[in-house]
Amino acid sequence: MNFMEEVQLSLVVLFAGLIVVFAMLVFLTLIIKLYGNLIHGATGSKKENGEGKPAAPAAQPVPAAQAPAPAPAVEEGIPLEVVAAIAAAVESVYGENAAVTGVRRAPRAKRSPRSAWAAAGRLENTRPF
Amino acid sequence: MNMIEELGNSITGLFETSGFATNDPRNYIMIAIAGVLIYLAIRKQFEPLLLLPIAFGMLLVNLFPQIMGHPEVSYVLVEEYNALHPGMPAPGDIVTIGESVPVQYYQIVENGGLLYYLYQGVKLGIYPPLIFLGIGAMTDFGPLIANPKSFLLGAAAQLGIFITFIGAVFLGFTPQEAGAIGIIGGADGPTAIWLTGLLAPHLLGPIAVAAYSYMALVPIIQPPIMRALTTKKERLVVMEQLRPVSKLEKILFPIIVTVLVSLLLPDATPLVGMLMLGNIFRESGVVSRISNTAQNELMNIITIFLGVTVGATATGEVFLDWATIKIIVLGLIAFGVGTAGGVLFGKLMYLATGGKVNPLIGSAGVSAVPMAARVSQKVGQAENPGNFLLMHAMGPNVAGVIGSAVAAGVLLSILG
Repeated sequence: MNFMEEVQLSLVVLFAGLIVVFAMLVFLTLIIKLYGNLIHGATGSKKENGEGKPAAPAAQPVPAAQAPAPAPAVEEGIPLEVVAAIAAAVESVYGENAAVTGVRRAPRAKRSPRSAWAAAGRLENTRPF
Repeated sequence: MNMIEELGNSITGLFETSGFATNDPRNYIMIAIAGVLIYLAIRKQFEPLLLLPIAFGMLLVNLFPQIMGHPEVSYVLVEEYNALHPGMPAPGDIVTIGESVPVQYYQIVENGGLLYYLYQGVKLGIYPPLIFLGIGAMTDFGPLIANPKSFLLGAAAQLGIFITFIGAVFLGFTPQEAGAIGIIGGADGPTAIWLTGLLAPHLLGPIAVAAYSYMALVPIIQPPIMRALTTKKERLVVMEQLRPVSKLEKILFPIIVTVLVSLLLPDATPLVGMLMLGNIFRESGVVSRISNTAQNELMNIITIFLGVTVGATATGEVFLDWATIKIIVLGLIAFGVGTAGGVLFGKLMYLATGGKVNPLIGSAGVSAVPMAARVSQKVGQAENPGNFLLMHAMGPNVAGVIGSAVAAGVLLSILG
Protein backbone atom coordinates (compact mmCIF):
# COMPACT_ATOMS: atom_id res chain seq x y z
CA MET A 1 0.00 0.00 0.00
CA ASN A 2 1.24 3.47 -0.78
CA PHE A 3 0.83 6.42 1.58
CA MET A 4 -2.42 7.67 0.02
CA GLU A 5 -3.98 4.21 0.15
CA GLU A 6 -3.02 3.95 3.83
CA VAL A 7 -4.62 7.33 4.56
CA GLN A 8 -7.75 6.36 2.66
CA LEU A 9 -8.10 3.01 4.44
CA SER A 10 -7.46 4.61 7.82
CA LEU A 11 -10.15 7.22 7.31
CA VAL A 12 -12.65 4.66 6.03
CA VAL A 13 -12.13 2.38 9.03
CA LEU A 14 -12.09 5.27 11.52
CA PHE A 15 -15.28 6.90 10.32
CA ALA A 16 -17.15 3.75 9.35
CA GLY A 17 -16.20 2.13 12.65
CA LEU A 18 -17.13 5.04 14.86
CA ILE A 19 -20.34 5.79 12.97
CA VAL A 20 -21.53 2.17 13.02
CA VAL A 21 -20.61 1.62 16.69
CA PHE A 22 -22.26 4.88 17.75
CA ALA A 23 -25.31 4.35 15.53
CA MET A 24 -25.80 0.84 16.89
CA LEU A 25 -25.43 1.85 20.51
CA VAL A 26 -27.55 5.01 20.11
CA PHE A 27 -30.24 2.84 18.53
CA LEU A 28 -30.01 0.40 21.44
CA THR A 29 -30.14 3.33 23.88
CA LEU A 30 -33.37 4.57 22.34
CA ILE A 31 -34.97 1.14 22.18
CA ILE A 32 -34.01 0.26 25.76
CA LYS A 33 -35.18 3.67 26.97
CA LEU A 34 -38.47 3.28 25.13
CA TYR A 35 -39.32 -0.18 26.38
CA GLY A 36 -37.95 0.67 29.81
CA ASN A 37 -40.33 3.62 30.01
CA LEU A 38 -43.21 1.50 28.72
CA ILE A 39 -42.67 -1.31 31.19
CA HIS A 40 -41.75 0.95 34.07
CA GLY A 41 -44.76 3.15 33.35
CA ALA A 42 -47.09 0.17 33.05
CA THR A 43 -45.92 -1.46 36.27
CA GLY A 44 -45.92 1.94 38.02
CA SER A 45 -49.54 2.67 37.05
CA LYS A 46 -50.55 -0.86 38.05
CA LYS A 47 -49.04 -0.33 41.46
CA GLU A 48 -50.87 2.96 41.78
CA ASN A 49 -54.13 1.13 40.95
CA GLY A 50 -53.35 -1.52 43.50
CA GLU A 51 -52.79 -4.18 40.86
CA GLY A 52 -49.05 -4.23 41.09
CA LYS A 53 -48.80 -7.37 43.13
CA PRO A 54 -47.42 -10.21 41.06
CA ALA A 55 -49.59 -13.26 40.58
CA ALA A 56 -49.33 -15.19 43.79
CA PRO A 57 -47.12 -18.24 43.35
CA ALA A 58 -49.07 -21.45 43.60
CA ALA A 59 -46.93 -22.72 46.43
CA GLN A 60 -47.28 -19.68 48.69
CA PRO A 61 -50.75 -18.17 48.44
CA VAL A 62 -50.43 -15.95 51.47
CA PRO A 63 -53.02 -13.16 51.58
CA ALA A 64 -51.69 -9.65 50.98
CA ALA A 65 -50.67 -8.13 54.24
CA GLN A 66 -51.98 -4.61 54.36
CA ALA A 67 -51.51 -4.47 58.12
CA PRO A 68 -48.26 -5.65 59.70
CA ALA A 69 -48.23 -9.42 60.11
CA PRO A 70 -48.72 -10.62 63.68
CA ALA A 71 -45.52 -11.36 65.56
CA PRO A 72 -44.54 -15.03 65.22
CA ALA A 73 -44.87 -17.33 68.19
CA VAL A 74 -41.28 -17.87 69.28
CA GLU A 75 -40.24 -20.75 71.49
CA GLU A 76 -38.60 -19.66 74.69
CA GLY A 77 -34.84 -19.41 74.55
CA ILE A 78 -34.50 -18.56 70.86
CA PRO A 79 -32.77 -15.17 70.52
CA LEU A 80 -34.46 -12.46 68.48
CA GLU A 81 -31.44 -12.27 66.17
CA VAL A 82 -32.09 -15.90 65.18
CA VAL A 83 -35.75 -15.11 64.54
CA ALA A 84 -34.72 -12.14 62.36
CA ALA A 85 -32.26 -14.31 60.42
CA ILE A 86 -34.91 -17.00 59.87
CA ALA A 87 -37.46 -14.38 58.75
CA ALA A 88 -34.91 -12.89 56.32
CA ALA A 89 -34.12 -16.35 54.91
CA VAL A 90 -37.83 -17.12 54.47
CA GLU A 91 -38.38 -13.77 52.71
CA SER A 92 -35.37 -14.39 50.46
CA VAL A 93 -36.56 -17.84 49.40
CA TYR A 94 -40.35 -17.47 49.32
CA GLY A 95 -40.72 -13.73 48.60
CA GLU A 96 -42.23 -10.88 50.55
CA ASN A 97 -45.72 -12.36 50.69
CA ALA A 98 -44.58 -15.19 52.93
CA ALA A 99 -44.99 -14.75 56.68
CA VAL A 100 -43.31 -16.48 59.59
CA THR A 101 -46.02 -17.57 61.99
CA GLY A 102 -43.91 -19.41 64.50
CA VAL A 103 -40.34 -20.39 65.33
CA ARG A 104 -39.56 -23.50 67.37
CA ARG A 105 -36.70 -25.92 67.67
CA ALA A 106 -37.02 -29.02 65.52
CA PRO A 107 -36.32 -32.19 67.45
CA ARG A 108 -33.33 -33.98 65.96
CA ALA A 109 -34.47 -37.13 64.23
CA LYS A 110 -33.11 -40.14 66.08
CA ARG A 111 -32.58 -42.14 62.91
CA SER A 112 -30.67 -39.39 61.07
CA PRO A 113 -27.49 -38.18 62.70
CA ARG A 114 -26.91 -35.82 59.75
CA SER A 115 -26.70 -32.13 60.69
CA ALA A 116 -29.07 -29.57 59.22
CA TRP A 117 -26.22 -28.16 57.08
CA ALA A 118 -25.36 -31.60 55.70
CA ALA A 119 -29.03 -32.23 54.94
CA ALA A 120 -29.31 -28.84 53.19
CA GLY A 121 -26.19 -29.61 51.16
CA ARG A 122 -27.57 -32.97 50.08
CA LEU A 123 -30.86 -31.35 49.15
CA GLU A 124 -29.10 -28.71 47.07
CA ASN A 125 -27.14 -31.35 45.17
CA THR A 126 -30.00 -33.71 44.55
CA ARG A 127 -32.81 -31.24 43.86
CA PRO A 128 -32.08 -30.94 40.09
CA PHE A 129 -32.54 -34.70 39.66
CA MET B 1 32.44 -53.72 22.19
CA ASN B 2 29.15 -53.88 20.29
CA MET B 3 27.19 -53.44 23.46
CA ILE B 4 29.15 -50.35 24.43
CA GLU B 5 28.70 -48.96 20.93
CA GLU B 6 24.94 -49.57 21.05
CA LEU B 7 24.74 -47.94 24.45
CA GLY B 8 26.61 -44.93 23.10
CA ASN B 9 24.34 -44.77 20.05
CA SER B 10 21.25 -44.93 22.27
CA ILE B 11 22.49 -42.08 24.43
CA THR B 12 23.45 -40.03 21.37
CA GLY B 13 20.04 -40.76 19.83
CA LEU B 14 18.27 -39.69 23.01
CA PHE B 15 20.28 -36.47 23.13
CA GLU B 16 19.64 -35.72 19.48
CA THR B 17 15.89 -36.01 19.92
CA SER B 18 15.88 -34.10 23.22
CA GLY B 19 14.93 -30.45 23.51
CA PHE B 20 18.58 -29.50 24.23
CA ALA B 21 19.58 -30.45 20.70
CA THR B 22 16.47 -29.53 18.76
CA ASN B 23 15.33 -26.27 20.36
CA ASP B 24 16.22 -22.89 18.99
CA PRO B 25 17.95 -20.43 21.40
CA ARG B 26 14.87 -18.20 21.08
CA ASN B 27 12.83 -20.95 22.72
CA TYR B 28 14.90 -20.50 25.88
CA ILE B 29 14.25 -16.76 25.90
CA MET B 30 10.53 -17.55 25.63
CA ILE B 31 10.82 -20.03 28.49
CA ALA B 32 12.27 -17.21 30.59
CA ILE B 33 9.40 -14.89 29.53
CA ALA B 34 6.90 -17.62 30.42
CA GLY B 35 8.56 -17.86 33.82
CA VAL B 36 8.12 -14.11 34.35
CA LEU B 37 4.45 -14.33 33.34
CA ILE B 38 3.90 -17.28 35.68
CA TYR B 39 5.48 -15.21 38.45
CA LEU B 40 3.22 -12.22 37.65
CA ALA B 41 0.13 -14.44 37.57
CA ILE B 42 0.86 -16.22 40.86
CA ARG B 43 2.73 -13.67 42.90
CA LYS B 44 1.18 -10.42 41.63
CA GLN B 45 -2.16 -12.00 40.67
CA PHE B 46 -2.26 -10.25 37.26
CA GLU B 47 -5.37 -11.78 35.65
CA PRO B 48 -4.20 -15.19 36.92
CA LEU B 49 -7.16 -17.11 35.50
CA LEU B 50 -5.91 -16.45 31.99
CA LEU B 51 -2.33 -15.39 32.39
CA LEU B 52 -1.35 -18.61 34.16
CA PRO B 53 -2.64 -20.99 31.43
CA ILE B 54 -1.30 -18.64 28.73
CA ALA B 55 2.14 -18.61 30.34
CA PHE B 56 2.13 -22.37 30.80
CA GLY B 57 1.07 -22.90 27.19
CA MET B 58 3.99 -20.68 26.20
CA LEU B 59 6.30 -22.78 28.36
CA LEU B 60 5.06 -26.06 26.87
CA VAL B 61 5.35 -25.02 23.23
CA ASN B 62 8.86 -23.67 23.69
CA LEU B 63 10.00 -26.82 25.47
CA PHE B 64 8.38 -29.13 22.93
CA PRO B 65 7.29 -27.28 19.76
CA GLN B 66 5.71 -30.43 18.32
CA ILE B 67 2.92 -30.14 20.87
CA MET B 68 1.43 -27.61 18.42
CA GLY B 69 2.55 -29.62 15.36
CA HIS B 70 0.16 -30.02 12.44
CA PRO B 71 -0.94 -33.50 11.41
CA GLU B 72 1.04 -34.65 8.39
CA VAL B 73 0.17 -37.02 5.59
CA SER B 74 2.85 -38.74 3.57
CA TYR B 75 2.65 -41.25 0.71
CA VAL B 76 4.92 -44.27 0.21
CA LEU B 77 4.83 -46.58 -2.79
CA VAL B 78 3.25 -49.88 -1.77
CA GLU B 79 5.77 -51.99 -3.71
CA GLU B 80 8.71 -50.06 -2.34
CA TYR B 81 7.45 -50.30 1.25
CA ASN B 82 6.75 -54.02 1.01
CA ALA B 83 10.18 -54.64 -0.50
CA LEU B 84 11.89 -52.79 2.33
CA HIS B 85 9.66 -54.16 5.12
CA PRO B 86 8.76 -57.73 4.16
CA GLY B 87 6.05 -59.24 6.34
CA MET B 88 5.30 -55.98 8.15
CA PRO B 89 1.68 -54.81 8.53
CA ALA B 90 0.44 -52.04 6.26
CA PRO B 91 1.31 -48.62 7.70
CA GLY B 92 -1.89 -47.00 6.39
CA ASP B 93 -4.69 -47.09 3.87
CA ILE B 94 -3.90 -47.79 0.22
CA VAL B 95 -4.79 -45.01 -2.20
CA THR B 96 -4.54 -45.19 -5.94
CA ILE B 97 -3.20 -42.14 -7.75
CA GLY B 98 -3.21 -41.63 -11.51
CA GLU B 99 -5.78 -42.58 -14.13
CA SER B 100 -3.83 -43.81 -17.15
CA VAL B 101 -1.12 -45.49 -15.07
CA PRO B 102 -2.63 -46.07 -11.61
CA VAL B 103 -0.04 -46.35 -8.84
CA GLN B 104 -0.79 -47.57 -5.34
CA TYR B 105 0.53 -45.72 -2.29
CA TYR B 106 0.25 -46.19 1.42
CA GLN B 107 -1.24 -43.07 2.97
CA ILE B 108 0.59 -42.59 6.27
CA VAL B 109 -1.05 -40.14 8.62
CA GLU B 110 0.94 -38.67 11.51
CA ASN B 111 -1.24 -37.08 14.14
CA GLY B 112 -0.70 -33.49 15.22
CA GLY B 113 0.27 -32.42 18.73
CA LEU B 114 -2.21 -32.23 21.59
CA LEU B 115 -2.44 -28.46 21.62
CA TYR B 116 -2.88 -28.34 17.84
CA TYR B 117 -6.25 -30.04 18.22
CA LEU B 118 -7.30 -27.94 21.20
CA TYR B 119 -6.25 -24.84 19.26
CA GLN B 120 -8.89 -25.52 16.61
CA GLY B 121 -11.41 -23.98 19.03
CA VAL B 122 -9.51 -20.71 18.80
CA LYS B 123 -8.80 -20.96 15.09
CA LEU B 124 -12.42 -21.63 14.24
CA GLY B 125 -13.66 -18.90 16.59
CA ILE B 126 -15.43 -21.30 18.97
CA TYR B 127 -13.92 -20.59 22.40
CA PRO B 128 -14.35 -16.79 22.61
CA PRO B 129 -18.13 -16.91 22.00
CA LEU B 130 -18.38 -19.69 24.61
CA ILE B 131 -16.50 -17.47 27.07
CA PHE B 132 -19.02 -14.75 26.21
CA LEU B 133 -21.80 -17.20 27.07
CA GLY B 134 -20.35 -17.49 30.56
CA ILE B 135 -19.81 -13.74 30.85
CA GLY B 136 -23.43 -13.16 29.85
CA ALA B 137 -24.57 -15.59 32.54
CA MET B 138 -22.53 -13.67 35.10
CA THR B 139 -23.45 -10.13 34.04
CA ASP B 140 -26.22 -8.02 35.49
CA PHE B 141 -27.25 -5.55 32.80
CA GLY B 142 -29.54 -3.78 35.30
CA PRO B 143 -27.39 -0.62 35.62
CA LEU B 144 -27.29 -0.31 31.83
CA ILE B 145 -31.06 -0.78 31.48
CA ALA B 146 -31.67 1.73 34.27
CA ASN B 147 -29.45 4.27 32.53
CA PRO B 148 -29.36 3.46 28.79
CA LYS B 149 -27.31 6.58 28.07
CA SER B 150 -24.40 4.51 29.37
CA PHE B 151 -24.35 2.88 25.94
CA LEU B 152 -22.90 6.09 24.54
CA LEU B 153 -19.94 5.94 26.91
CA GLY B 154 -19.43 2.32 25.87
CA ALA B 155 -19.30 3.51 22.25
CA ALA B 156 -16.98 6.47 22.88
CA ALA B 157 -14.44 4.28 24.66
CA GLN B 158 -14.00 2.25 21.45
CA LEU B 159 -12.14 5.22 19.96
CA GLY B 160 -8.86 3.58 20.97
CA ILE B 161 -9.54 0.66 18.63
CA PHE B 162 -9.82 2.80 15.53
CA ILE B 163 -7.02 5.23 16.38
CA THR B 164 -4.69 2.31 17.05
CA PHE B 165 -5.73 0.74 13.76
CA ILE B 166 -4.45 3.84 12.00
CA GLY B 167 -1.19 3.76 13.96
CA ALA B 168 -0.69 0.09 13.08
CA VAL B 169 -1.32 0.68 9.38
CA PHE B 170 1.30 3.42 9.33
CA LEU B 171 3.78 1.20 11.18
CA GLY B 172 3.65 -1.22 8.29
CA PHE B 173 1.15 -3.85 9.45
CA THR B 174 -1.32 -5.21 6.91
CA PRO B 175 -4.92 -3.95 7.29
CA GLN B 176 -5.96 -7.31 8.81
CA GLU B 177 -3.09 -7.26 11.30
CA ALA B 178 -3.85 -3.62 12.14
CA GLY B 179 -7.48 -4.50 12.84
CA ALA B 180 -6.42 -7.31 15.17
CA ILE B 181 -3.98 -5.00 16.98
CA GLY B 182 -6.55 -2.22 17.26
CA ILE B 183 -9.05 -4.48 19.00
CA ILE B 184 -6.70 -4.62 22.01
CA GLY B 185 -8.22 -1.20 22.76
CA GLY B 186 -11.55 -2.92 23.34
CA ALA B 187 -10.00 -4.25 26.57
CA ASP B 188 -11.88 -7.45 26.06
CA GLY B 189 -9.79 -10.62 25.87
CA PRO B 190 -12.27 -12.97 24.17
CA THR B 191 -13.16 -10.32 21.56
CA ALA B 192 -9.47 -9.68 20.84
CA ILE B 193 -8.77 -13.40 20.47
CA TRP B 194 -11.86 -13.97 18.35
CA LEU B 195 -11.04 -11.21 15.89
CA THR B 196 -7.31 -11.98 15.78
CA GLY B 197 -8.06 -15.65 15.17
CA LEU B 198 -10.09 -14.65 12.12
CA LEU B 199 -8.01 -11.76 10.76
CA ALA B 200 -4.38 -12.44 11.74
CA PRO B 201 -4.00 -15.77 13.55
CA HIS B 202 -0.19 -15.56 13.42
CA LEU B 203 -0.35 -12.61 15.84
CA LEU B 204 -2.50 -14.37 18.44
CA GLY B 205 0.28 -14.85 20.97
CA PRO B 206 1.55 -11.25 21.18
CA ILE B 207 -1.96 -9.77 20.98
CA ALA B 208 -3.39 -12.02 23.69
CA VAL B 209 -0.45 -11.37 25.99
CA ALA B 210 -0.68 -7.60 25.37
CA ALA B 211 -4.47 -7.52 25.86
CA TYR B 212 -4.47 -9.49 29.11
CA SER B 213 -1.41 -7.72 30.48
CA TYR B 214 -2.96 -4.31 29.94
CA MET B 215 -6.30 -5.47 31.34
CA ALA B 216 -4.44 -6.47 34.48
CA LEU B 217 -2.78 -3.06 34.50
CA VAL B 218 -6.03 -1.07 34.14
CA PRO B 219 -5.76 0.25 37.74
CA ILE B 220 -2.34 1.68 36.88
CA ILE B 221 -2.97 2.88 33.31
CA GLN B 222 -6.35 4.58 33.71
CA PRO B 223 -6.23 6.82 36.82
CA PRO B 224 -3.57 9.29 35.54
CA ILE B 225 -5.52 9.74 32.28
CA MET B 226 -8.80 10.17 34.17
CA ARG B 227 -7.32 12.76 36.51
CA ALA B 228 -5.57 14.63 33.70
CA LEU B 229 -8.77 15.02 31.68
CA THR B 230 -11.18 15.99 34.47
CA THR B 231 -11.43 18.85 36.93
CA LYS B 232 -11.85 18.33 40.66
CA LYS B 233 -15.37 19.72 40.40
CA GLU B 234 -16.28 17.10 37.79
CA ARG B 235 -14.78 14.28 39.83
CA LEU B 236 -16.84 15.34 42.83
CA VAL B 237 -20.18 14.92 41.06
CA VAL B 238 -22.49 12.60 43.01
CA MET B 239 -24.88 10.87 40.63
CA GLU B 240 -28.53 10.16 41.32
CA GLN B 241 -29.42 6.68 42.48
CA LEU B 242 -30.42 4.36 39.63
CA ARG B 243 -34.05 3.32 39.35
CA PRO B 244 -34.93 -0.28 40.09
CA VAL B 245 -35.17 -2.50 37.01
CA SER B 246 -38.00 -5.02 36.72
CA LYS B 247 -37.45 -8.67 35.87
CA LEU B 248 -39.42 -8.28 32.63
CA GLU B 249 -37.04 -5.54 31.47
CA LYS B 250 -34.06 -7.75 32.25
CA ILE B 251 -35.57 -10.67 30.32
CA LEU B 252 -36.46 -8.56 27.30
CA PHE B 253 -33.03 -6.90 27.15
CA PRO B 254 -31.03 -9.86 25.77
CA ILE B 255 -33.75 -10.66 23.24
CA ILE B 256 -33.93 -7.09 21.95
CA VAL B 257 -30.16 -6.65 21.79
CA THR B 258 -29.71 -9.97 19.97
CA VAL B 259 -32.39 -9.22 17.41
CA LEU B 260 -31.15 -5.70 16.68
CA VAL B 261 -27.43 -6.45 16.58
CA SER B 262 -27.88 -9.62 14.53
CA LEU B 263 -30.05 -7.87 11.97
CA LEU B 264 -27.94 -4.73 11.72
CA LEU B 265 -24.44 -6.18 12.09
CA PRO B 266 -24.50 -9.95 11.46
CA ASP B 267 -20.72 -10.27 11.90
CA ALA B 268 -21.08 -9.42 15.59
CA THR B 269 -23.73 -12.11 16.15
CA PRO B 270 -21.44 -14.91 17.40
CA LEU B 271 -20.16 -12.75 20.26
CA VAL B 272 -23.22 -10.67 21.10
CA GLY B 273 -25.60 -13.59 20.53
CA MET B 274 -23.75 -15.86 22.94
CA LEU B 275 -23.38 -13.05 25.48
CA MET B 276 -27.11 -12.52 25.41
CA LEU B 277 -27.87 -16.25 25.46
CA GLY B 278 -25.90 -16.51 28.69
CA ASN B 279 -27.71 -13.49 30.05
CA ILE B 280 -31.17 -14.83 29.29
CA PHE B 281 -30.19 -18.08 31.05
CA ARG B 282 -29.47 -15.94 34.08
CA GLU B 283 -32.39 -13.57 33.97
CA SER B 284 -35.12 -16.03 33.00
CA GLY B 285 -34.62 -17.78 36.32
CA VAL B 286 -35.94 -21.07 34.92
CA VAL B 287 -32.67 -22.71 33.87
CA SER B 288 -30.50 -22.17 36.89
CA ARG B 289 -28.61 -25.43 36.23
CA ILE B 290 -27.60 -24.30 32.74
CA SER B 291 -26.85 -20.81 33.99
CA ASN B 292 -24.60 -22.19 36.72
CA THR B 293 -22.83 -24.46 34.25
CA ALA B 294 -22.23 -21.59 31.82
CA GLN B 295 -20.84 -19.39 34.60
CA ASN B 296 -18.69 -22.03 36.23
CA GLU B 297 -17.81 -25.38 34.70
CA LEU B 298 -18.09 -24.47 31.01
CA MET B 299 -16.37 -21.13 31.51
CA ASN B 300 -13.54 -22.75 33.42
CA ILE B 301 -13.02 -25.53 30.89
CA ILE B 302 -12.98 -23.13 27.96
CA THR B 303 -10.68 -20.77 29.86
CA ILE B 304 -8.16 -23.58 30.27
CA PHE B 305 -8.29 -24.55 26.58
CA LEU B 306 -8.24 -20.95 25.40
CA GLY B 307 -5.43 -19.86 27.67
CA VAL B 308 -3.12 -22.80 27.07
CA THR B 309 -3.56 -22.84 23.30
CA VAL B 310 -3.25 -19.09 22.87
CA GLY B 311 -0.08 -19.22 24.94
CA ALA B 312 1.12 -22.06 22.75
CA THR B 313 1.05 -19.80 19.70
CA ALA B 314 3.83 -17.71 21.27
CA THR B 315 6.85 -19.59 19.99
CA GLY B 316 10.23 -17.90 20.04
CA GLU B 317 10.19 -17.58 16.28
CA VAL B 318 6.87 -15.67 16.29
CA PHE B 319 7.09 -13.76 19.56
CA LEU B 320 10.67 -12.50 19.51
CA ASP B 321 10.16 -10.09 16.71
CA TRP B 322 9.97 -6.31 16.29
CA ALA B 323 6.30 -6.74 15.50
CA THR B 324 5.70 -7.86 19.10
CA ILE B 325 7.36 -4.74 20.51
CA LYS B 326 5.21 -2.60 18.20
CA ILE B 327 2.08 -4.51 19.28
CA ILE B 328 2.90 -3.97 22.96
CA VAL B 329 3.34 -0.21 22.38
CA LEU B 330 0.24 0.05 20.19
CA GLY B 331 -1.79 -1.87 22.77
CA LEU B 332 -0.86 0.66 25.43
CA ILE B 333 -1.87 3.50 23.10
CA ALA B 334 -5.16 1.70 22.40
CA PHE B 335 -5.95 1.45 26.12
CA GLY B 336 -4.99 5.05 26.77
CA VAL B 337 -6.97 6.50 23.86
CA GLY B 338 -9.99 4.33 24.71
CA THR B 339 -9.93 5.57 28.30
CA ALA B 340 -9.55 9.15 27.12
CA GLY B 341 -12.42 8.75 24.63
CA GLY B 342 -14.74 7.52 27.37
CA VAL B 343 -13.76 10.24 29.83
CA LEU B 344 -14.06 13.00 27.22
CA PHE B 345 -17.51 11.78 26.23
CA GLY B 346 -18.35 11.68 29.93
CA LYS B 347 -17.36 15.36 30.10
CA LEU B 348 -19.67 16.03 27.19
CA MET B 349 -22.49 14.32 29.06
CA TYR B 350 -21.57 16.29 32.17
CA LEU B 351 -22.06 19.51 30.22
CA ALA B 352 -25.20 18.32 28.43
CA THR B 353 -26.91 17.23 31.65
CA GLY B 354 -25.95 20.32 33.61
CA GLY B 355 -23.46 18.47 35.80
CA LYS B 356 -25.47 15.34 36.63
CA VAL B 357 -23.00 12.86 35.09
CA ASN B 358 -19.59 12.23 36.64
CA PRO B 359 -17.15 11.95 33.71
CA LEU B 360 -15.11 9.37 35.61
CA ILE B 361 -17.63 6.68 34.71
CA GLY B 362 -16.69 7.14 31.03
CA SER B 363 -13.39 5.34 31.46
CA ALA B 364 -15.29 2.17 32.38
CA GLY B 365 -16.58 2.06 28.80
CA VAL B 366 -13.42 0.26 27.70
CA SER B 367 -14.85 -3.08 29.00
CA ALA B 368 -12.36 -4.89 31.28
CA VAL B 369 -15.34 -5.88 33.43
CA PRO B 370 -15.48 -5.19 36.35
CA MET B 371 -11.96 -3.82 36.87
CA ALA B 372 -12.56 -0.59 34.91
CA ALA B 373 -15.75 0.14 36.89
CA ARG B 374 -13.83 -0.40 40.13
CA VAL B 375 -11.22 2.10 38.94
CA SER B 376 -13.96 4.71 38.34
CA GLN B 377 -15.25 4.05 41.85
CA LYS B 378 -11.78 4.29 43.36
CA VAL B 379 -10.80 7.53 41.60
CA GLY B 380 -14.17 9.11 42.47
CA GLN B 381 -13.91 8.03 46.07
CA ALA B 382 -10.42 9.46 46.34
CA GLU B 383 -12.02 12.90 45.89
CA ASN B 384 -15.15 12.26 47.93
CA PRO B 385 -15.19 9.20 50.19
CA GLY B 386 -18.99 9.36 50.28
CA ASN B 387 -19.35 9.06 46.51
CA PHE B 388 -20.30 5.61 45.19
CA LEU B 389 -19.87 5.48 41.43
CA LEU B 390 -19.56 1.70 41.08
CA MET B 391 -23.11 0.92 39.93
CA HIS B 392 -23.14 3.97 37.62
CA ALA B 393 -19.84 2.81 36.11
CA MET B 394 -21.13 -0.74 35.62
CA GLY B 395 -23.51 0.62 32.94
CA PRO B 396 -20.77 1.87 30.59
CA ASN B 397 -18.64 -1.09 31.60
CA VAL B 398 -21.08 -3.71 30.29
CA ALA B 399 -22.00 -1.40 27.39
CA GLY B 400 -18.29 -1.52 26.53
CA VAL B 401 -18.50 -5.31 26.16
CA ILE B 402 -21.29 -4.89 23.62
CA GLY B 403 -19.48 -1.93 22.04
CA SER B 404 -16.23 -3.81 21.54
CA ALA B 405 -18.10 -6.80 20.09
CA VAL B 406 -19.83 -4.44 17.66
CA ALA B 407 -16.49 -2.78 16.81
CA ALA B 408 -15.01 -6.25 16.18
CA GLY B 409 -17.93 -7.01 13.87
CA VAL B 410 -17.31 -3.76 11.98
CA LEU B 411 -13.60 -4.53 11.57
CA LEU B 412 -14.39 -8.05 10.42
CA SER B 413 -16.91 -6.86 7.87
CA ILE B 414 -14.53 -4.23 6.46
CA LEU B 415 -11.26 -6.18 6.61
CA GLY B 416 -12.31 -9.84 6.66
